Amino acid sequence: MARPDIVFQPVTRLANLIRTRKLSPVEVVRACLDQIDAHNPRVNAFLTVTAEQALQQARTAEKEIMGGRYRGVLHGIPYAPKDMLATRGIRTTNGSKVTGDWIPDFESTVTARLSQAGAILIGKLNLLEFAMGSGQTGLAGPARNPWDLAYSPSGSSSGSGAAIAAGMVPLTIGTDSGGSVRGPAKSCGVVGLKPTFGRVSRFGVTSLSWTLDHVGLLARTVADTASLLRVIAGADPRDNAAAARPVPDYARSLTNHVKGLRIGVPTRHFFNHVDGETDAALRRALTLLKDMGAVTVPVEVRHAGITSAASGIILGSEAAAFHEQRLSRNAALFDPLVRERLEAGTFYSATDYIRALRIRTMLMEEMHRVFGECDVMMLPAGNPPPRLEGEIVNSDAPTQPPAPPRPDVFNLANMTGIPAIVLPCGFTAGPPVLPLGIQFCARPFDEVTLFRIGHAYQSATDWHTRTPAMG
Amino acid sequence: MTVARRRLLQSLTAAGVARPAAAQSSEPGIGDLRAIGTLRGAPLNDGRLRILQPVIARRLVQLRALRELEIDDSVAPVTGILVR
Repeated sequence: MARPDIVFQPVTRLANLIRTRKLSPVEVVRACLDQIDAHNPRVNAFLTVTAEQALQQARTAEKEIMGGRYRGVLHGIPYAPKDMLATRGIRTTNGSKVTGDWIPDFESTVTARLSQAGAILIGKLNLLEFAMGSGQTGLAGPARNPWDLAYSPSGSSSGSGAAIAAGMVPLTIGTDSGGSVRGPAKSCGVVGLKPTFGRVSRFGVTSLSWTLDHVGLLARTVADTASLLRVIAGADPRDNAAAARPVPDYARSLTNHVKGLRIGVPTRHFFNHVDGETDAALRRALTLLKDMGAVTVPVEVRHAGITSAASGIILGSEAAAFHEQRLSRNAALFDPLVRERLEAGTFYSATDYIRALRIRTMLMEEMHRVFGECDVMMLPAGNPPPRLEGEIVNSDAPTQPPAPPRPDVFNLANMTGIPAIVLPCGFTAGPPVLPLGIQFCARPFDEVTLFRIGHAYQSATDWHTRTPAMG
Repeated sequence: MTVARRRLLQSLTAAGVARPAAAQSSEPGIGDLRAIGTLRGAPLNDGRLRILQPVIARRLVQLRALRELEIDDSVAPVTGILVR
Protein backbone atom coordinates (compact mmCIF):
# COMPACT_ATOMS: atom_id res chain seq x y z
CA MET A 1 0.00 0.00 0.00
CA ALA A 2 1.38 3.42 -0.95
CA ARG A 3 2.13 5.75 1.94
CA PRO A 4 -0.48 8.37 1.02
CA ASP A 5 -3.08 5.60 1.12
CA ILE A 6 -1.98 4.45 4.57
CA VAL A 7 -2.43 7.64 6.51
CA PHE A 8 -6.18 8.02 6.17
CA GLN A 9 -7.02 4.34 6.68
CA PRO A 10 -8.98 3.33 9.77
CA VAL A 11 -7.14 1.28 12.40
CA THR A 12 -9.36 -1.74 11.80
CA ARG A 13 -8.12 -1.95 8.20
CA LEU A 14 -4.47 -1.27 9.07
CA ALA A 15 -4.63 -3.89 11.83
CA ASN A 16 -6.01 -6.48 9.47
CA LEU A 17 -3.18 -5.84 7.01
CA ILE A 18 -0.57 -5.92 9.77
CA ARG A 19 -1.97 -9.11 11.31
CA THR A 20 -1.89 -10.86 7.94
CA ARG A 21 1.66 -9.53 7.31
CA LYS A 22 0.62 -7.59 4.21
CA LEU A 23 1.72 -4.34 5.81
CA SER A 24 4.62 -3.70 8.16
CA PRO A 25 4.29 -1.45 11.23
CA VAL A 26 7.49 0.19 9.96
CA GLU A 27 5.69 1.27 6.78
CA VAL A 28 2.79 2.64 8.82
CA VAL A 29 5.05 4.60 11.15
CA ARG A 30 7.10 5.97 8.23
CA ALA A 31 3.91 7.07 6.46
CA CYS A 32 2.75 8.91 9.56
CA LEU A 33 6.18 10.54 10.06
CA ASP A 34 6.16 11.68 6.42
CA GLN A 35 2.72 13.19 6.91
CA ILE A 36 3.88 14.96 10.08
CA ASP A 37 6.95 16.32 8.26
CA ALA A 38 4.80 17.57 5.41
CA HIS A 39 2.01 19.22 7.38
CA ASN A 40 2.95 19.83 11.00
CA PRO A 41 4.81 23.09 10.25
CA ARG A 42 1.42 24.57 9.33
CA VAL A 43 -1.05 22.50 11.37
CA ASN A 44 1.09 22.57 14.56
CA ALA A 45 -0.61 19.50 16.00
CA PHE A 46 2.56 17.90 17.41
CA LEU A 47 4.72 19.50 20.10
CA THR A 48 7.16 16.59 20.15
CA VAL A 49 7.82 13.88 17.55
CA THR A 50 9.53 10.73 18.80
CA ALA A 51 10.58 9.52 15.36
CA GLU A 52 13.60 7.36 16.22
CA GLN A 53 11.92 5.69 19.17
CA ALA A 54 8.78 5.07 17.12
CA LEU A 55 10.71 3.49 14.27
CA GLN A 56 12.60 1.29 16.72
CA GLN A 57 9.33 0.14 18.30
CA ALA A 58 7.89 -0.48 14.83
CA ARG A 59 10.84 -2.72 13.93
CA THR A 60 10.33 -4.62 17.20
CA ALA A 61 6.62 -5.00 16.47
CA GLU A 62 7.40 -6.22 12.97
CA LYS A 63 9.72 -8.91 14.37
CA GLU A 64 7.16 -9.99 16.93
CA ILE A 65 4.38 -10.26 14.36
CA MET A 66 6.57 -12.07 11.85
CA GLY A 67 7.46 -14.44 14.71
CA GLY A 68 3.80 -15.20 15.30
CA ARG A 69 3.46 -13.09 18.46
CA TYR A 70 0.62 -10.78 17.37
CA ARG A 71 -0.74 -8.98 20.46
CA GLY A 72 -4.02 -7.64 19.11
CA VAL A 73 -5.64 -4.92 17.08
CA LEU A 74 -3.37 -2.09 18.26
CA HIS A 75 -0.11 -3.98 17.73
CA GLY A 76 2.07 -1.89 15.45
CA ILE A 77 -0.44 0.98 15.26
CA PRO A 78 0.90 4.51 15.90
CA TYR A 79 -0.87 6.79 18.35
CA ALA A 80 -0.23 10.10 20.09
CA PRO A 81 -1.48 11.51 23.41
CA LYS A 82 -2.27 15.07 24.35
CA ASP A 83 0.80 16.47 26.07
CA MET A 84 -0.86 16.23 29.48
CA LEU A 85 -0.21 12.49 29.79
CA ALA A 86 3.06 11.68 31.50
CA THR A 87 5.49 9.70 29.37
CA ARG A 88 8.60 8.40 31.07
CA GLY A 89 11.72 10.04 29.68
CA ILE A 90 9.77 12.10 27.14
CA ARG A 91 9.09 15.81 27.62
CA THR A 92 5.55 16.43 28.89
CA THR A 93 4.78 20.14 28.68
CA ASN A 94 1.05 20.58 29.40
CA GLY A 95 1.34 23.18 26.64
CA SER A 96 2.81 25.58 29.17
CA LYS A 97 6.02 27.48 29.74
CA VAL A 98 5.53 26.65 33.41
CA THR A 99 6.18 22.94 32.79
CA GLY A 100 7.81 23.26 29.37
CA ASP A 101 10.90 21.24 30.30
CA TRP A 102 9.31 18.58 32.51
CA ILE A 103 10.53 15.06 31.76
CA PRO A 104 8.51 12.61 33.89
CA ASP A 105 10.13 9.61 35.51
CA PHE A 106 6.86 7.69 35.39
CA GLU A 107 4.28 6.63 32.82
CA SER A 108 0.55 7.37 32.74
CA THR A 109 -1.65 4.29 32.99
CA VAL A 110 -3.17 4.98 29.56
CA THR A 111 0.14 5.19 27.70
CA ALA A 112 1.47 2.20 29.65
CA ARG A 113 -1.54 0.11 28.59
CA LEU A 114 -1.18 1.19 24.98
CA SER A 115 2.47 0.25 25.03
CA GLN A 116 1.59 -3.13 26.53
CA ALA A 117 -0.88 -3.66 23.67
CA GLY A 118 1.89 -2.99 21.16
CA ALA A 119 0.74 0.47 20.08
CA ILE A 120 3.55 2.83 19.07
CA LEU A 121 3.86 6.30 20.55
CA ILE A 122 4.82 8.65 17.72
CA GLY A 123 4.82 11.97 19.59
CA LYS A 124 2.99 14.32 21.94
CA LEU A 125 0.18 16.64 20.90
CA ASN A 126 -0.51 20.35 21.17
CA LEU A 127 -3.24 21.62 23.48
CA LEU A 128 -4.56 24.72 25.15
CA GLU A 129 -2.29 25.43 28.10
CA PHE A 130 -3.21 23.19 31.06
CA ALA A 131 -6.42 22.44 29.10
CA MET A 132 -7.77 25.92 29.83
CA GLY A 133 -5.68 28.43 27.89
CA SER A 134 -6.34 30.78 25.02
CA GLY A 135 -4.54 28.63 22.49
CA GLN A 136 -2.73 31.75 21.32
CA THR A 137 0.04 32.41 23.79
CA GLY A 138 0.94 29.04 25.26
CA LEU A 139 4.15 27.13 24.70
CA ALA A 140 4.01 26.69 20.92
CA GLY A 141 1.13 28.72 19.54
CA PRO A 142 -2.17 27.32 18.36
CA ALA A 143 -2.83 24.11 16.48
CA ARG A 144 -4.76 24.78 13.30
CA ASN A 145 -7.76 23.12 11.74
CA PRO A 146 -6.67 20.97 8.76
CA TRP A 147 -9.99 21.72 7.04
CA ASP A 148 -9.11 25.41 6.98
CA LEU A 149 -5.90 26.61 8.58
CA ALA A 150 -7.42 29.99 9.43
CA TYR A 151 -9.75 28.23 11.86
CA SER A 152 -9.31 26.65 15.25
CA PRO A 153 -9.53 22.88 15.69
CA SER A 154 -11.27 23.80 18.99
CA GLY A 155 -9.82 22.88 22.34
CA SER A 156 -8.47 21.99 24.60
CA SER A 157 -7.34 18.76 22.89
CA SER A 158 -6.66 20.80 19.76
CA GLY A 159 -3.70 18.76 18.50
CA SER A 160 -5.55 15.51 19.16
CA GLY A 161 -8.31 16.45 16.73
CA ALA A 162 -6.08 18.15 14.17
CA ALA A 163 -3.55 15.27 13.99
CA ILE A 164 -6.20 12.72 13.03
CA ALA A 165 -7.91 15.01 10.53
CA ALA A 166 -4.52 15.70 8.91
CA GLY A 167 -3.71 11.98 8.61
CA MET A 168 -0.68 12.30 10.89
CA VAL A 169 -1.76 9.48 13.19
CA PRO A 170 -4.85 7.25 13.32
CA LEU A 171 -5.49 7.32 17.09
CA THR A 172 -5.10 10.06 19.67
CA ILE A 173 -5.79 10.55 23.36
CA GLY A 174 -7.22 13.74 24.80
CA THR A 175 -8.80 14.94 28.00
CA ASP A 176 -12.33 16.23 28.44
CA SER A 177 -13.47 18.28 31.45
CA GLY A 178 -16.13 20.28 29.59
CA GLY A 179 -16.02 19.16 25.96
CA SER A 180 -12.26 19.25 25.33
CA VAL A 181 -12.32 16.00 23.34
CA ARG A 182 -15.76 16.31 21.80
CA GLY A 183 -15.26 19.90 20.61
CA PRO A 184 -12.08 19.15 18.64
CA ALA A 185 -13.65 15.94 17.29
CA LYS A 186 -16.57 17.94 15.94
CA SER A 187 -14.43 20.76 14.55
CA CYS A 188 -12.01 18.35 12.86
CA GLY A 189 -14.61 15.91 11.50
CA VAL A 190 -13.47 12.87 13.51
CA VAL A 191 -14.94 10.66 16.25
CA GLY A 192 -14.49 11.76 19.85
CA LEU A 193 -15.52 9.76 22.91
CA LYS A 194 -15.72 10.93 26.49
CA PRO A 195 -16.18 7.65 28.36
CA THR A 196 -18.05 7.28 31.64
CA PHE A 197 -16.34 8.88 34.64
CA GLY A 198 -14.11 6.16 36.08
CA ARG A 199 -14.05 4.03 32.91
CA VAL A 200 -10.45 5.09 32.09
CA SER A 201 -7.73 5.72 34.66
CA ARG A 202 -6.41 9.24 34.98
CA PHE A 203 -3.18 8.28 36.70
CA GLY A 204 -0.36 10.31 35.19
CA VAL A 205 -2.70 12.81 33.53
CA THR A 206 -2.24 16.42 34.66
CA SER A 207 -5.43 17.58 36.37
CA LEU A 208 -7.64 20.44 35.39
CA SER A 209 -10.61 19.62 37.62
CA TRP A 210 -10.47 16.41 39.65
CA THR A 211 -14.21 15.72 39.56
CA LEU A 212 -14.82 16.75 35.94
CA ASP A 213 -11.70 15.38 34.21
CA HIS A 214 -12.02 12.41 31.86
CA VAL A 215 -9.50 10.81 29.52
CA GLY A 216 -11.04 10.82 26.03
CA LEU A 217 -10.36 9.09 22.72
CA LEU A 218 -10.27 10.31 19.14
CA ALA A 219 -10.18 8.27 15.95
CA ARG A 220 -11.47 8.24 12.42
CA THR A 221 -14.21 5.66 13.03
CA VAL A 222 -16.40 4.40 15.84
CA ALA A 223 -14.92 0.91 15.40
CA ASP A 224 -11.42 2.31 15.98
CA THR A 225 -12.64 4.14 19.07
CA ALA A 226 -14.13 0.92 20.41
CA SER A 227 -10.83 -0.92 19.88
CA LEU A 228 -8.93 1.81 21.71
CA LEU A 229 -11.32 1.95 24.67
CA ARG A 230 -11.13 -1.81 25.11
CA VAL A 231 -7.37 -1.50 25.65
CA ILE A 232 -7.19 1.52 27.95
CA ALA A 233 -10.31 1.02 30.12
CA GLY A 234 -10.43 -0.75 33.45
CA ALA A 235 -9.59 -0.63 37.12
CA ASP A 236 -6.36 0.97 38.30
CA PRO A 237 -5.21 1.00 41.94
CA ARG A 238 -3.33 4.25 41.23
CA ASP A 239 -6.55 6.15 40.40
CA ASN A 240 -9.12 5.75 43.16
CA ALA A 241 -11.87 6.97 40.79
CA ALA A 242 -11.17 4.21 38.24
CA ALA A 243 -14.09 1.81 38.22
CA ALA A 244 -13.61 -1.88 38.95
CA ARG A 245 -16.32 -2.93 36.52
CA PRO A 246 -15.34 -5.42 33.81
CA VAL A 247 -14.56 -4.00 30.39
CA PRO A 248 -16.92 -5.35 27.70
CA ASP A 249 -15.81 -6.59 24.31
CA TYR A 250 -17.01 -3.48 22.55
CA ALA A 251 -16.46 -4.94 19.09
CA ARG A 252 -19.56 -7.07 19.65
CA SER A 253 -21.68 -3.91 19.71
CA LEU A 254 -20.62 -2.99 16.19
CA THR A 255 -23.70 -4.28 14.45
CA ASN A 256 -25.67 -2.10 12.09
CA HIS A 257 -28.87 -2.68 14.01
CA VAL A 258 -30.67 0.21 15.69
CA LYS A 259 -34.19 -1.13 15.29
CA GLY A 260 -36.23 -0.10 18.29
CA LEU A 261 -33.44 2.00 19.81
CA ARG A 262 -35.00 4.98 21.58
CA ILE A 263 -33.27 8.29 20.80
CA GLY A 264 -34.17 11.02 23.26
CA VAL A 265 -34.39 14.46 21.69
CA PRO A 266 -34.41 17.33 24.22
CA THR A 267 -37.33 19.66 23.85
CA ARG A 268 -35.48 22.74 25.07
CA HIS A 269 -32.22 24.41 26.04
CA PHE A 270 -29.62 22.39 24.12
CA PHE A 271 -30.66 23.72 20.72
CA ASN A 272 -30.50 27.36 21.79
CA HIS A 273 -27.95 29.23 19.64
CA VAL A 274 -27.36 26.27 17.30
CA ASP A 275 -26.66 27.58 13.80
CA GLY A 276 -28.90 26.70 10.89
CA GLU A 277 -26.53 24.36 9.06
CA THR A 278 -25.85 22.33 12.20
CA ASP A 279 -29.56 22.14 12.96
CA ALA A 280 -30.33 20.89 9.44
CA ALA A 281 -27.54 18.28 9.62
CA LEU A 282 -28.87 16.98 12.95
CA ARG A 283 -32.36 16.65 11.52
CA ARG A 284 -31.02 14.71 8.54
CA ALA A 285 -29.12 12.38 10.86
CA LEU A 286 -32.22 11.72 12.94
CA THR A 287 -34.28 11.04 9.83
CA LEU A 288 -31.68 8.52 8.66
CA LEU A 289 -31.59 6.75 12.01
CA LYS A 290 -35.39 6.59 12.09
CA ASP A 291 -35.34 5.11 8.59
CA MET A 292 -33.00 2.46 10.01
CA GLY A 293 -35.53 1.56 12.70
CA ALA A 294 -34.69 3.82 15.64
CA VAL A 295 -37.46 5.80 17.30
CA THR A 296 -37.29 9.31 18.72
CA VAL A 297 -38.84 10.38 21.99
CA PRO A 298 -39.01 13.90 23.43
CA VAL A 299 -37.11 14.34 26.69
CA GLU A 300 -36.50 17.22 29.04
CA VAL A 301 -33.55 17.97 31.30
CA ARG A 302 -35.20 20.48 33.56
CA HIS A 303 -32.07 22.06 35.05
CA ALA A 304 -30.00 21.99 31.88
CA GLY A 305 -29.89 25.78 31.85
CA ILE A 306 -27.95 25.95 35.10
CA THR A 307 -25.40 23.29 34.15
CA SER A 308 -22.81 25.60 32.67
CA ALA A 309 -22.76 27.97 35.63
CA ALA A 310 -22.47 25.14 38.15
CA SER A 311 -19.78 23.46 36.09
CA GLY A 312 -17.86 26.72 35.87
CA ILE A 313 -17.71 27.07 39.65
CA ILE A 314 -16.54 23.49 40.13
CA LEU A 315 -13.92 23.68 37.41
CA GLY A 316 -12.72 27.14 38.42
CA SER A 317 -12.44 26.23 42.10
CA GLU A 318 -10.70 22.91 41.53
CA ALA A 319 -8.29 24.31 38.95
CA ALA A 320 -7.40 27.21 41.26
CA ALA A 321 -6.71 24.74 44.07
CA PHE A 322 -4.63 22.45 41.82
CA HIS A 323 -2.44 25.28 40.49
CA GLU A 324 -2.27 27.36 43.68
CA GLN A 325 1.45 26.87 44.32
CA ARG A 326 2.49 27.08 40.66
CA LEU A 327 0.56 30.32 40.34
CA SER A 328 2.18 31.87 43.40
CA ARG A 329 5.67 30.94 42.14
CA ASN A 330 5.43 31.39 38.36
CA ALA A 331 2.45 33.61 37.64
CA ALA A 332 4.19 35.47 34.81
CA LEU A 333 4.87 32.25 32.89
CA PHE A 334 1.18 31.36 32.55
CA ASP A 335 -0.89 32.16 29.48
CA PRO A 336 -2.66 35.39 30.52
CA LEU A 337 -6.05 33.73 30.14
CA VAL A 338 -5.07 30.77 32.33
CA ARG A 339 -3.71 33.14 34.95
CA GLU A 340 -6.90 35.19 34.82
CA ARG A 341 -9.08 32.11 35.21
CA LEU A 342 -7.05 30.68 38.06
CA GLU A 343 -6.98 33.95 39.96
CA ALA A 344 -10.70 34.49 39.43
CA GLY A 345 -11.33 30.94 40.66
CA THR A 346 -10.00 31.84 44.09
CA PHE A 347 -12.91 34.24 44.61
CA TYR A 348 -15.57 31.51 44.71
CA SER A 349 -16.81 30.67 48.19
CA ALA A 350 -17.09 27.21 49.70
CA THR A 351 -20.86 27.54 49.85
CA ASP A 352 -20.98 28.34 46.14
CA TYR A 353 -18.90 25.24 45.41
CA ILE A 354 -21.15 23.06 47.54
CA ARG A 355 -24.25 24.52 45.93
CA ALA A 356 -22.79 23.58 42.54
CA LEU A 357 -22.23 20.03 43.83
CA ARG A 358 -25.85 19.85 44.97
CA ILE A 359 -26.97 20.94 41.50
CA ARG A 360 -24.80 18.16 40.19
CA THR A 361 -26.78 15.69 42.31
CA MET A 362 -29.99 17.04 40.80
CA LEU A 363 -28.63 16.70 37.26
CA MET A 364 -27.56 13.10 37.89
CA GLU A 365 -31.04 12.25 39.16
CA GLU A 366 -32.57 13.95 36.13
CA MET A 367 -30.41 11.97 33.75
CA HIS A 368 -31.36 8.76 35.54
CA ARG A 369 -34.99 9.66 34.83
CA VAL A 370 -34.26 10.65 31.22
CA PHE A 371 -32.59 7.32 30.53
CA GLY A 372 -35.72 5.59 31.75
CA GLU A 373 -37.43 7.13 28.74
CA CYS A 374 -34.71 6.63 26.11
CA ASP A 375 -31.57 4.59 25.41
CA VAL A 376 -29.44 7.46 24.09
CA MET A 377 -29.95 11.21 24.11
CA MET A 378 -29.03 13.17 21.00
CA LEU A 379 -27.41 16.59 21.38
CA PRO A 380 -25.71 19.04 19.05
CA ALA A 381 -21.91 19.02 19.20
CA GLY A 382 -21.56 22.77 18.97
CA ASN A 383 -21.28 25.24 16.14
CA PRO A 384 -18.45 25.51 13.60
CA PRO A 385 -15.17 26.63 15.22
CA PRO A 386 -13.95 30.23 15.50
CA ARG A 387 -11.32 31.87 13.30
CA LEU A 388 -7.89 31.90 14.91
CA GLU A 389 -6.35 35.14 13.72
CA GLY A 390 -6.64 37.96 16.20
CA GLU A 391 -9.09 36.07 18.31
CA ILE A 392 -8.62 34.70 21.78
CA VAL A 393 -10.38 31.38 21.91
CA ASN A 394 -12.60 30.79 24.93
CA SER A 395 -11.79 34.08 26.63
CA ASP A 396 -13.51 34.82 29.91
CA ALA A 397 -13.07 38.53 29.50
CA PRO A 398 -15.76 40.70 27.93
CA THR A 399 -15.07 41.28 24.24
CA GLN A 400 -16.02 44.03 21.83
CA PRO A 401 -18.10 43.17 19.94
CA PRO A 402 -19.49 40.51 22.29
CA ALA A 403 -18.77 36.94 21.24
CA PRO A 404 -21.79 35.22 19.69
CA PRO A 405 -23.70 33.03 22.15
CA ARG A 406 -22.77 29.36 21.92
CA PRO A 407 -24.91 26.34 22.64
CA ASP A 408 -24.03 24.67 25.94
CA VAL A 409 -23.89 21.05 24.91
CA PHE A 410 -20.90 19.46 26.61
CA ASN A 411 -20.91 20.18 30.35
CA LEU A 412 -23.88 17.97 31.18
CA ALA A 413 -21.92 14.78 30.47
CA ASN A 414 -18.98 15.93 32.59
CA MET A 415 -21.22 17.00 35.46
CA THR A 416 -23.10 13.71 35.51
CA GLY A 417 -20.31 11.38 34.41
CA ILE A 418 -22.33 9.83 31.58
CA PRO A 419 -20.53 8.75 28.39
CA ALA A 420 -20.87 10.85 25.24
CA ILE A 421 -19.68 10.44 21.67
CA VAL A 422 -19.37 12.94 18.82
CA LEU A 423 -19.49 11.92 15.15
CA PRO A 424 -19.13 13.93 11.94
CA CYS A 425 -22.55 14.46 10.35
CA GLY A 426 -21.94 16.91 7.52
CA PHE A 427 -20.09 20.02 6.42
CA THR A 428 -20.87 23.68 6.13
CA ALA A 429 -21.61 24.82 2.59
CA GLY A 430 -18.70 27.22 2.88
CA PRO A 431 -16.55 28.97 2.44
CA PRO A 432 -15.12 27.96 4.81
CA VAL A 433 -16.00 24.29 4.46
CA LEU A 434 -15.87 22.94 8.00
CA PRO A 435 -17.21 19.74 9.62
CA LEU A 436 -20.47 19.54 11.54
CA GLY A 437 -21.05 17.09 14.39
CA ILE A 438 -23.72 15.15 16.23
CA GLN A 439 -23.47 13.98 19.84
CA PHE A 440 -25.05 11.05 21.66
CA CYS A 441 -25.06 10.43 25.43
CA ALA A 442 -25.96 7.20 27.23
CA ARG A 443 -26.37 5.69 30.68
CA PRO A 444 -23.26 5.36 32.84
CA PHE A 445 -20.97 2.58 31.55
CA ASP A 446 -23.16 2.04 28.49
CA GLU A 447 -20.54 2.90 25.89
CA VAL A 448 -21.78 -0.21 24.08
CA THR A 449 -24.96 1.58 23.03
CA LEU A 450 -23.01 4.64 21.89
CA PHE A 451 -20.82 2.43 19.73
CA ARG A 452 -23.87 0.63 18.41
CA ILE A 453 -25.64 3.76 17.19
CA GLY A 454 -22.43 5.45 16.09
CA HIS A 455 -21.25 2.49 14.04
CA ALA A 456 -24.67 2.09 12.45
CA TYR A 457 -24.67 5.77 11.50
CA GLN A 458 -21.16 5.58 10.03
CA SER A 459 -22.10 2.44 8.11
CA ALA A 460 -24.86 4.41 6.39
CA THR A 461 -22.91 7.64 5.78
CA ASP A 462 -19.53 8.68 4.40
CA TRP A 463 -18.79 11.89 6.31
CA HIS A 464 -15.99 10.15 8.24
CA THR A 465 -14.24 9.06 5.05
CA ARG A 466 -13.68 12.58 3.75
CA THR A 467 -10.26 14.14 4.11
CA PRO A 468 -9.09 17.74 4.02
CA ALA A 469 -7.17 19.04 1.00
CA MET A 470 -4.51 20.83 3.11
CA GLY A 471 -3.16 22.32 -0.13
CA MET B 1 -2.39 45.37 56.35
CA THR B 2 -5.46 45.44 58.56
CA VAL B 3 -9.01 45.32 57.29
CA ALA B 4 -11.78 46.97 59.25
CA ARG B 5 -14.68 44.65 60.06
CA ARG B 6 -17.18 47.00 58.46
CA ARG B 7 -15.06 47.25 55.32
CA LEU B 8 -14.65 43.46 55.22
CA LEU B 9 -18.40 42.85 55.44
CA GLN B 10 -18.98 45.38 52.69
CA SER B 11 -16.44 43.60 50.51
CA LEU B 12 -17.82 40.15 51.13
CA THR B 13 -21.28 41.37 50.36
CA ALA B 14 -20.17 43.06 47.17
CA ALA B 15 -18.38 39.91 46.01
CA GLY B 16 -21.44 37.85 46.81
CA VAL B 17 -19.85 35.83 49.62
CA ALA B 18 -22.32 37.32 52.07
CA ARG B 19 -25.56 38.29 50.44
CA PRO B 20 -28.19 40.54 51.87
CA ALA B 21 -30.83 40.90 49.17
CA ALA B 22 -30.23 44.62 48.84
CA ALA B 23 -26.63 44.00 47.84
CA GLN B 24 -27.38 41.39 45.19
CA SER B 25 -27.07 43.72 42.25
CA SER B 26 -23.88 45.50 43.31
CA GLU B 27 -20.63 44.80 41.53
CA PRO B 28 -17.35 44.46 43.40
CA GLY B 29 -14.87 47.28 43.01
CA ILE B 30 -11.09 47.06 43.07
CA GLY B 31 -11.05 47.91 46.78
CA ASP B 32 -13.48 45.11 47.53
CA LEU B 33 -11.40 42.56 45.69
CA ARG B 34 -8.21 43.82 47.36
CA ALA B 35 -9.80 43.29 50.77
CA ILE B 36 -10.94 39.77 49.89
CA GLY B 37 -7.51 38.91 48.54
CA THR B 38 -5.98 40.06 51.78
CA LEU B 39 -8.48 38.07 53.80
CA ARG B 40 -7.72 34.83 51.96
CA GLY B 41 -3.98 35.35 52.39
CA ALA B 42 -3.16 35.82 48.71
CA PRO B 43 -3.26 39.54 47.97
CA LEU B 44 -3.16 40.64 44.34
CA ASN B 45 -1.75 43.95 43.13
CA ASP B 46 -4.00 46.60 41.67
CA GLY B 47 -2.93 45.77 38.12
CA ARG B 48 -4.11 42.19 38.51
CA LEU B 49 -7.28 43.31 40.27
CA ARG B 50 -8.12 45.65 37.41
CA ILE B 51 -7.88 42.69 35.01
CA LEU B 52 -9.98 40.46 37.24
CA GLN B 53 -12.69 42.93 38.18
CA PRO B 54 -14.75 42.62 34.95
CA VAL B 55 -14.25 38.85 34.88
CA ILE B 56 -15.53 38.46 38.42
CA ALA B 57 -18.36 40.90 37.80
CA ARG B 58 -19.45 38.80 34.84
CA ARG B 59 -19.24 35.59 36.83
CA LEU B 60 -21.36 37.14 39.57
CA VAL B 61 -24.26 37.14 37.15
CA GLN B 62 -23.97 33.36 36.87
CA LEU B 63 -23.45 32.97 40.60
CA ARG B 64 -26.61 34.89 41.34
CA ALA B 65 -28.56 32.61 39.01
CA LEU B 66 -27.27 29.62 40.96
CA ARG B 67 -28.02 31.20 44.30
CA GLU B 68 -31.58 31.95 43.31
CA LEU B 69 -32.28 28.33 42.42
CA GLU B 70 -34.48 26.63 45.01
CA ILE B 71 -32.84 23.39 46.11
CA ASP B 72 -34.72 20.93 48.28
CA ASP B 73 -33.14 20.26 51.67
CA SER B 74 -32.94 16.58 50.79
CA VAL B 75 -30.41 17.24 48.01
CA ALA B 76 -26.89 16.55 49.25
CA PRO B 77 -23.77 17.47 47.31
CA VAL B 78 -22.22 14.85 45.08
CA THR B 79 -19.50 13.10 47.03
CA GLY B 80 -18.65 10.42 44.48
CA ILE B 81 -19.49 10.70 40.82
CA LEU B 82 -20.53 7.10 40.35
CA VAL B 83 -20.65 3.96 42.44
CA ARG B 84 -17.58 1.88 41.78
